[in-house]
Amino acid sequence: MLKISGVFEITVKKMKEPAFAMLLVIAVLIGASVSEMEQLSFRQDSGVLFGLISLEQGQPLLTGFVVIFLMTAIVAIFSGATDIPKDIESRMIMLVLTKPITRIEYLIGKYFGIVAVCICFFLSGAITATLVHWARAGEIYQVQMLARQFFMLLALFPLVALTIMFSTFLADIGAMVVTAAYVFFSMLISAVSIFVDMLPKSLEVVSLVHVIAYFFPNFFYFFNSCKFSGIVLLALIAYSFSMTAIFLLVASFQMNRRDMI
Amino acid sequence: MNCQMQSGRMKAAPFILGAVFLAYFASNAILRQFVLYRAGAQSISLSTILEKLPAGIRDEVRQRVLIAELKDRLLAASTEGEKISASIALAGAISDKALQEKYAEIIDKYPSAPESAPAFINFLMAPNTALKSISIPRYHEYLKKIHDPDLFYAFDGGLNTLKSRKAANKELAAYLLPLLELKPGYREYQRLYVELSELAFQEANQDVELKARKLEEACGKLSFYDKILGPQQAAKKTKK
Repeated sequence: MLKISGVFEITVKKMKEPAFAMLLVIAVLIGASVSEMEQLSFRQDSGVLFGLISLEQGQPLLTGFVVIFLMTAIVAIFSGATDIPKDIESRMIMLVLTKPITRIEYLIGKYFGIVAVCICFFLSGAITATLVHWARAGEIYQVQMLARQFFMLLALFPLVALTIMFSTFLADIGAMVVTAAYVFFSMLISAVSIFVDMLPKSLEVVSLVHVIAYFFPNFFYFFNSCKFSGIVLLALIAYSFSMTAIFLLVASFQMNRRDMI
Repeated sequence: MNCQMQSGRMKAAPFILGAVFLAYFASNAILRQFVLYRAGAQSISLSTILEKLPAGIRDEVRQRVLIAELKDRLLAASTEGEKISASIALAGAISDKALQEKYAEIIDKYPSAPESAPAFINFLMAPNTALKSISIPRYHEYLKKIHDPDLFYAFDGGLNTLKSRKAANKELAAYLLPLLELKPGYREYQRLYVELSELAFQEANQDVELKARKLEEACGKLSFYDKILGPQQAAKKTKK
C-alpha cells in the first residue's frame, strides 16, 4: 500500500507544475462560464438518445456540469495516455522499478494519481460553477441535484483505466487517438444495442449486437437521469468499478510482459 | 515470505477475476433492463426511430421489423385461433404467394376454426389457376360450424368475394339462401337480407323474397352488434 501511495504521490506532484496551475485556471473559467446553463435535455423525437438520456424522472443533469465533465474527460485521456509512455521514454520507470515495487503496484499508483488529478480538475470547475450560480441567482443547488452531477464521476474511473490500458500497449499519441476512437465507438455501439433491444427478438441481429456490445463500455448509463437509489445505484457503482478492474487487469498483464527498454 | 504471498495471490486471482466479470455482467444486465424499462415507460416507439433512417432503406427495414414482430407474435400464440391469425398476418407480410399457400394450408389444417374464415373467403369460387377453390355448398358447410359475430363476417366477406368474382345473380342468391334458416341476432344482418330480397325479386322468386323481407324487417328492430357486445363485456369485467 505504501509503495502504491509513493507512485501516487509522484503522479499527483505534477499538480504543483505551472502547466497544471494553468489547467486549474481553465477549469475555474469554464466553471464560471457554464454556471447558468440549463438542464441537459433532448427532444422526444431524438429517438434512442432521448431513451438513453431522457429527463423525465429524478434529478436532471445540468449542461454546465456535463461540459465540465467533458473537459475532465479530455484531461483524463491526455494524462492517462501520456504518463506511462513518458515514464518509459525518459527511463523514469526503470528508476522506479529498481525500488522494491512491482509493475502492478506502479500501475495502480499511477492510476489513482491520474484519477486524483482529474477529480481535482472536475471539482475546481464544479465548485466554481456552484459558487457563481449562487452569486448570480442568489440560490444554491439542491444537495440531491449536486449529488447527481457528481455521480458523473463514476464514468471517470473506467475512462482513466481504459486510457492507461491503451497507453501500456501504444505510445502516447497512439493511446490518445485509440482511446478517443474506442470511446466514440462505444457510444455508437451502446446506442445501437439499446435500439436493437427494442426490436423484435426474431431479428437475428439481436444476439450478435449484444455480444459486440459487451466488449464496449456503455457510458450512457452514467448520464441517465433517474432517482439514483437502491439497486440501480448499486449496479452503476458495480458497473463502474468492474469495468475499471477489467481494464486495469489487462493493463497489468501487458505491463508485466512488456519490455521497458 | 514473498514466495508465500505470491502463491496466495495466484490462488486468489481466478476468484477475483470471476467476481469482477460477474459484477460486470450482472450490473450491465440490470442497467440495460432499467434503461429499456424507462424507454418503454416513456413510449419511445420504434417507428419514430425508424423514420430517421434514410428513405432508401427505411421501407425494407420496416418490412423486416414487421415480419420479425409477427414471428414473435406467432411464437407467443397459445390458442389455435391466435396461431391462425398470426400465421395469416405473417404470410401476408412476407408475400402474396406465401399468403395464398398459408390460406390453403389453413383450410386443410383447421377446417372448422372461426379464424379460418379469411382463407375460406379467399378461395370461395376461386378460378382454376388458384391453389384451391371452395364451392358454395362447401362454404355453407363451413358456415354451419361457426357462430356470431364470426358468422356474419364470414357471410359478408363471402358475398363481397363472389361479387368481386362477378358471380351470377343466381349464384349470389344460392349463396345467401341459408340466411332464411337463420335466426338473426344483430341489426348488421339487415343488409344481407336486403340483398337477398332484391336478388329474389330479380329472379322472380316470390317465396324467398317474402321470407327475406320479413327477416329484414325483424332485423330492423334488433340492436347493433356493438351495443349488445358492450354490456356483455362490461358484465364480464364486473364478474372478474
